[in-house]
Amino acid sequence: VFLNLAQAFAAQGQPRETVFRVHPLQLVRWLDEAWSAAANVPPITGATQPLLGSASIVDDLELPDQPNPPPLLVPSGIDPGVGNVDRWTEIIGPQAVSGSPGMIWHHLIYAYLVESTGAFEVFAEVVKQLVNGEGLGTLQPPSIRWLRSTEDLFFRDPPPYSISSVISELRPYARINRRQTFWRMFGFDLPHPMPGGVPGSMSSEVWKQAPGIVANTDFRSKWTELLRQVWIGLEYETATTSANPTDASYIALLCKTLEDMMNNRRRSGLLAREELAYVSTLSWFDLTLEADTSIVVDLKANGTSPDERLSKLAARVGMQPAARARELLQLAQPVATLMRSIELGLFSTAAQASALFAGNTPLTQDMRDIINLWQSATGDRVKDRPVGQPQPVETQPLRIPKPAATVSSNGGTR
Amino acid sequence: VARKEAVSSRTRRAGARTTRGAVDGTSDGGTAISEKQLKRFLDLLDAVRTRDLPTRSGVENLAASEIERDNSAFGYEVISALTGRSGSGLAPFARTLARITRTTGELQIELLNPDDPTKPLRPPNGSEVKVLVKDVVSPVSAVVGDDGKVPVPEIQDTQVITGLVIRDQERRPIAVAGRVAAVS
Repeated sequence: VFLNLAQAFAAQGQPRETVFRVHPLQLVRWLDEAWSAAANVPPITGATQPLLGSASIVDDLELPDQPNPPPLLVPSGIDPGVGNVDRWTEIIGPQAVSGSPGMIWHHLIYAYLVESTGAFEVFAEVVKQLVNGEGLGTLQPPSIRWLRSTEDLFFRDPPPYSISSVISELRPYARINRRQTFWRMFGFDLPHPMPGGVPGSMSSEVWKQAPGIVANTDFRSKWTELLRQVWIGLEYETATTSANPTDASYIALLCKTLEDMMNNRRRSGLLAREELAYVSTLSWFDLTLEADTSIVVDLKANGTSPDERLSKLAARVGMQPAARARELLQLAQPVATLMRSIELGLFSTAAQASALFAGNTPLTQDMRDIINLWQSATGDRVKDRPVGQPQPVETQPLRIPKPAATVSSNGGTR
Repeated sequence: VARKEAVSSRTRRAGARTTRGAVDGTSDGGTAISEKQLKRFLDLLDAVRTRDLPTRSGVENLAASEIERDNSAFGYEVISALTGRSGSGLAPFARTLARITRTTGELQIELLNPDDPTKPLRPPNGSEVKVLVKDVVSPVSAVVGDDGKVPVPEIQDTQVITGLVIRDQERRPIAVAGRVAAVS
């Protein structure tokens, strides 16, 4: 979400990291405006499912429309066109206004992939050491603003009634809440354990068995198979002399399965708020690593790529990020776009699914990148063909279910 | 088939959120295949014929998939842009927003610059405009000319426009709009 805001500043000739200079109170208000902006998104061509699982969830949870001047809550007042972020501008933030095409945040998988790098825990330790001591040196004013906003936005309870306020007495630990959401949607847990000493860390396995938890545990196998089949399609797209094993219908079936899995978890708009909150959290840290931002420079973690900066930051606080952080960070945005498209039903017929591998389009270019990076990041051998005999289909159950025993009039069973 | 001239010059500050859903089409639009699509279809038939595909239905299926898949690729790109993907050449529409209105024989594209309503704003020359029409599966493309006008053929007054994307010469999306009713 903060990537959208950074882009809005960049479009006005401001540095992307201007986002870090905006007051956290305004940023929280802007998240509410970003939520409302999702209602302005035009109908997506080819989509068969509602955005966020429900056509009404954005309207249901947003603030009521206010007459001018707003009597209840003032707008965020962020105006990317004004160079001075210290001046509140009385306007609704970018992309929430009428006539705007709106905006939509990245899919939840984005938050999962970025958090899998360990970035959140590295920054947690950085912030902890910065606010509790002087071991990391002195910060320049822009970094002090980043530090204040980071602590306020992500390491403190969010303000009540905000759309991003997805923490309460009943789900008190943000780290667990995020893991639980990832688990429900993808059947994925984060690759690193909960850090010791973090509130709730002792119950890291308990949440998987909480009452009512339903997880898409079959997600990974279907997703990997989808990538494999799309790779076959890409490989044979230009082949003219051999038989083409590409099966667009099978690819569509896999897309449809993934679509159903994700929409089952999103019924009536479930997880929509959580997605906004978690994606915005991780996009903040992704944006911090994107360039040699002031905090990166002040902590002497300059680098040529986000993963290098993350490694250097981690080293400053005695930590180590995920070995495949580079791939995970590069994967996050394209996979999020693809996952959103699948979830909306853009590839649920054979004809539509062929767009994933046919021609030289931005989509097929993204598919090649995703396949390469996913294979490298996870070790799933997507490009390898299965060898050996096909696995036999599971046999039918040996026992035919018995009819339930009925109670006779004299109390016995028969 | 009417020929449209899309003019992009005026700028206007966006107002209160009142238009959402208000401009949905009242006509179900035309379903006739456009000239461009027909040509594409015929080209495809030729291409398919040289591959010696066995059945007519196979040919039709392939042709349909060729046309339909544009839909998905197009939708994917719109999602890419709306999510503000960075570093991929797919920029969001933070600065330049589009509003399309139409009168008989004319389609007008206004690029909205919320920061400077007095300054005319138009897409750079050479920008590509893609318009998606209801019940016509393949987007119609056109290029912004030196005079700032965009000849967009093949869209009839009775057809509902469901989406529009403008890209600059480097193929970065710079504006998007949707839901424009037919001319009554």
